[in-house]
Amino acid sequence: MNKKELRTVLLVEDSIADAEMTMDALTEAHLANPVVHVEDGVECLDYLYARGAWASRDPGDPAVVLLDIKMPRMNGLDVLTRMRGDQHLRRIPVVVLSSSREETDLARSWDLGANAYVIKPVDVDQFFDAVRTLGRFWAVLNEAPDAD
Amino acid sequence: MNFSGIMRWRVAGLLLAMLIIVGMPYVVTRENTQATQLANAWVTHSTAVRSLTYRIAYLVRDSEAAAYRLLTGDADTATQTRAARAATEVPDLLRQLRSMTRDNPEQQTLIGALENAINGRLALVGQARGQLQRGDAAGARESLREAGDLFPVNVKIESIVHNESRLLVAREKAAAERVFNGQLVLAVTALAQLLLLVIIVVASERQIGQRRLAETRESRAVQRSRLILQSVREPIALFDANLHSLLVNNAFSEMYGEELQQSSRPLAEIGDGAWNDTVLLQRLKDVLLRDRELWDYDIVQHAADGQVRHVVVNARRLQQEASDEPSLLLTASDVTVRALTEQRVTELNHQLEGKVAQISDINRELEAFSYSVSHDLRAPLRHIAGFVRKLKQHLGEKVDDQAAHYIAVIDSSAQRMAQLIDDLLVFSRLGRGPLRLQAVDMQSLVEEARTLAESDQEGRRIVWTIGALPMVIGDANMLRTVWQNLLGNAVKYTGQCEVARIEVKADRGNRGDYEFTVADNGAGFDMQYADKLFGVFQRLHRASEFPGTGIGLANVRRIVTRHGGRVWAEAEPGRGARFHFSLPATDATGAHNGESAA
Repeated sequence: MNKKELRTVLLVEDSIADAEMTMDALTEAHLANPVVHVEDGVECLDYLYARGAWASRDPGDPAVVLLDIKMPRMNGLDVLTRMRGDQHLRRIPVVVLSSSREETDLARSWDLGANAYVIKPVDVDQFFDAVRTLGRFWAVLNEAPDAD
Repeated sequence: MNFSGIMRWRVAGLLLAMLIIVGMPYVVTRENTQATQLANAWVTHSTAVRSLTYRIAYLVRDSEAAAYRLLTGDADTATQTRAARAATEVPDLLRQLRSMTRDNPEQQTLIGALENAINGRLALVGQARGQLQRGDAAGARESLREAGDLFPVNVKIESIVHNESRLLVAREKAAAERVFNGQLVLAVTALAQLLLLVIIVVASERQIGQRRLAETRESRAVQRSRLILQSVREPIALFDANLHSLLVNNAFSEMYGEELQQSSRPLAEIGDGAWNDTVLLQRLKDVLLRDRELWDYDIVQHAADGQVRHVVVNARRLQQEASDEPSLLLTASDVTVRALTEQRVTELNHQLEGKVAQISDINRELEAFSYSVSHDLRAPLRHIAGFVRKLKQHLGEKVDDQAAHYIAVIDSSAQRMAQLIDDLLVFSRLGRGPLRLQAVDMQSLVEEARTLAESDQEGRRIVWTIGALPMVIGDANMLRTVWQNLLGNAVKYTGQCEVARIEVKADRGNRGDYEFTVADNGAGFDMQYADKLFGVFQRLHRASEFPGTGIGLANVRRIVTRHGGRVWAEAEPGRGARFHFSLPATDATGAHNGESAA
């Protein structure tokens, strides 16, 4: 196991059910990477900056951030804005996972620098397929530069 | 030449004519009188000359006769005296005659000759008297006879008298001519007087007539102006320099008091002080003093009866001649109705703005609602599906047929609901988004939609008849949706035909608009339900027969309506359906089949 494989997959999702389903799908993908689930934007930034409740986490950036848009306190687009504006966080791959088919959400996500935009399918098989593919691609296949 | 010039000349001419007419008779009469007097004097003169001549002749003859008496022996003293008288008296008489005819050389000559003859005779008569005294009677006789023979006087006398008579006749004739001429001149003058009188009378009559006509016209014009002023519905009033009313029309007195027609009143007191507005009065004084016009000055007047009037005041100075005291013409338009209408319009505008704001709010809410539907309703559906799956996995081998059925129903219901939500979102987006207008080639859109509609229909026989389709101006994505729905439906509802026949064509309407038709020979529908055809989620067939949610034609109608067209259909159950939609004429008309979109 090299260093890259040990990187975490950060799941930012307020819905417990969605989170559970996503975790199931990632498990089914047989990812070795640990999956960390945070429930809103504020907690996501806490994790990324290793502060607050996450002050004592293991160092290192996540391999990918799976980011929901609609969340309480701070939504996904605000998180994305903050990440892309931060020298240390701007290279972390972000996949927006959303139920929204709204063009505006899609366009804004791309404008803000999302690496992918995935609409969560209602069809459960499609959903599992999508999450498995995502996990494999971003956590295993994708080569991200080392953090500065 | 101006009018006063003409008048001056006319007066001068008239005076000259009068002078001539009055002066001429005077001159002529005077001359006539003088001529008559002169003529009379000449007559008297001629008579005197004649009688003097005859007297001389008589004296000469009488002396000679007396001498003959003496010869016969008459020695009477009286006869002696008679015989001597001629010698003493005649020379004086001759001198008289000569002086009387001094102006006439011919008479002078004749008188000279007469004088010689008389002197000769008198000398012979004297000689005869001497001879007689000496007693020489024969010598005396001889002398007397010689006197008669040698010095004849009769012819000379007659010549003088005749001459004088002739002169008299000539003078009388000249005098008569002069008198006649004078009378002629008098007659002509009298005629001229008459003529002048006639001219003067006619001219003055004409002038009087013209003046009367002009006066009538002027008074009519004044009358008309007054009538106009009185019948104008806009209140008009005339004020003097102290802003006291001079003249008001009916409209004004109706508005501000009938007494204004009779009496003059200061503006500030008119209409119970309706005009007592400091600024307005100052402005009106400015109009009078500085000749400034007052334009559309708005005031609000409170009448005694509590009525409120909105009045627009206009005023200007009237000054007919520089020396006149200026007056002020004032009009007051009652614009209460207009003002109230404007007020109402403003209120309505406010209301409208409020409504627009409300609509924008509603639109924003709708947007938020669709977002919410899109995001929040789909999540639970996903969870249902996800956890049904987990349940199935959890039950594993223990799941029986019943449980599997329940799970399948839950799963498909969730799917269907997800489909409905997606459809609804599409429908809502078609209504909200802006139209991206561009030239669209309907031919290629139809080809595209046909390929899509046929893509999962292997094994079916479909005969397509696609006519020439034009370029139109529209939103390409939306029009694509229209064709996909119409052709998709045509393919779907001909599913049970052995050979499906689908025809697509375009016609031009009367006003240049396009009418597109998609006709098929499929299931058709009952026309009595045609009004439901284009409603959201309205279906005329069972889902088991023909699958679908019933959103397609609702989308078609929404798109066509947004493009300014309309959509309709006709059909018969089992005999196919014809769907039509129209699009208004656009600048891209004329570009027909063959010109594909760039």
